[in-house]
Amino acid sequence: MFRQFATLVSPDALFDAHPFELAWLLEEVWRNPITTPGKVLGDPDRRSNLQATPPYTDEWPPVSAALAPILAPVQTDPATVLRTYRWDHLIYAYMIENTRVYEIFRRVMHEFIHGEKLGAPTEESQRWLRNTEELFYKDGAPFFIGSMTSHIRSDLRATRRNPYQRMFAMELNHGGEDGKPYPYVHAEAANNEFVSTFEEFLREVWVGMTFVTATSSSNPTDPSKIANLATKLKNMLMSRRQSGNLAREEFAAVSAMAWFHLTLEYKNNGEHAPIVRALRAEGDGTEQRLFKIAERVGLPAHGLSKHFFDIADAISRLLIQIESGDYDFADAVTALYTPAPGGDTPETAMRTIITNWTAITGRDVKARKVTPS
Amino acid sequence: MANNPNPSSSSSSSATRDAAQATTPAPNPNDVTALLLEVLRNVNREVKTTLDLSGRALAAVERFRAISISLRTLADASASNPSTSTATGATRTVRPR
Repeated sequence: MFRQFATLVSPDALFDAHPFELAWLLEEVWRNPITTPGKVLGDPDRRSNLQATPPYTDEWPPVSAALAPILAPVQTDPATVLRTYRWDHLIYAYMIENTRVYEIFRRVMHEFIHGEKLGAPTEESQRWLRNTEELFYKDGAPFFIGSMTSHIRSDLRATRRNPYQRMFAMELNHGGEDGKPYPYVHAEAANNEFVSTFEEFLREVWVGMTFVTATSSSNPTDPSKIANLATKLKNMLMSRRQSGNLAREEFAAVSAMAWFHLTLEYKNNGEHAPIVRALRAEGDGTEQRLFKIAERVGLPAHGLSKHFFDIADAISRLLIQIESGDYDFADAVTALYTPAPGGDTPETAMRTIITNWTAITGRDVKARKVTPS
Repeated sequence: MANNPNPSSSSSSSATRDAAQATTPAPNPNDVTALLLEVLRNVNREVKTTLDLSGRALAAVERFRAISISLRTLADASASNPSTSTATGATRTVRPR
């Protein structure tokens, strides 16, 4: 390309240019290729359908009209305000990554990039493949908040495992592809009591659920203890977040896992995500689509993937609330085990968490704790 | 007669009563205890039907819902209204080249 540019400007102008200018010129070429309508994709007159960076515009931000609603202001009373956003708790990323979805799609990328074992990618899956590789399987673009790779931490997967260990003292249930434990930096300051405290919390809430409607028997529910456990969880989680610590790591991790979760979850009137169609992995249920893709690439997904998908949203929202201190008081924790009209309540979330946590860990938090005499 | 559990059957002959008593085994005391406990447990659960939340508990429910709305996903949209799963971001779009 640069030899063609040199017919339009002095070669010295190119050699003296800033690299950003050169990169931008290449983007302009890609944006305006010779294209003949009606030609098949791949034809010399229609090489690709992948888009260049958004064109230069006086308006900001440079997103297409199709994406503009995401950033559109919100009409409130009495004024229009900018939309604000929240992202999931780190526990969401931990749960989704446990399905092995990242490793499975890594294998998908590998096969599509290096050969045609899975067939040639379809026209519409080309964009998904490009976006996925750009965003989640390479070093991020400089200065972006989600770019986590550096000379200090060069492995994205290890970069996610470190905050999992620090926040929850939990390892992912899979190691590397060779079956060995995945190497990453373990921190000394970690919430080693998170799991035992959380399970005690679940156990006490389940007691509350069991006896919430009882009137004539003694009620062993202990709201003070539940509040105490919630405060303990809050304190240990917030200790790791001092001064905004781990926020970037959390943001990057939940963004990556949400991309893969959406890819598998997306099912609209029988339609599926482009890559799911390209892999002929259509099916009912998020975990079933993952299983089919895993089968195609020969890397099994976790057998309890459905439970990981099911628990992720509920436990993320609960931990956000616990960190907010909403359950620091005994008279507040009744919300955790008391049904409320309207659905989408802490009580329904707790039932989802208790059921799936029991299935995932194999430890029945519905069983009463037996104390040796 | 005072111990007869079914007065309407008092006209039956004594021979019939004797035969019935002879063929019906006495219930196991453990079964009776289990049944009584089950009855008591059900009574327990059926009595309180109105559960009201107030104060901090109600605030916690509202806060949870606010968090859920801010993290609303396609799955939430499908759960609340299965026929309108296209409501948020589910419509496939093709970006201009």
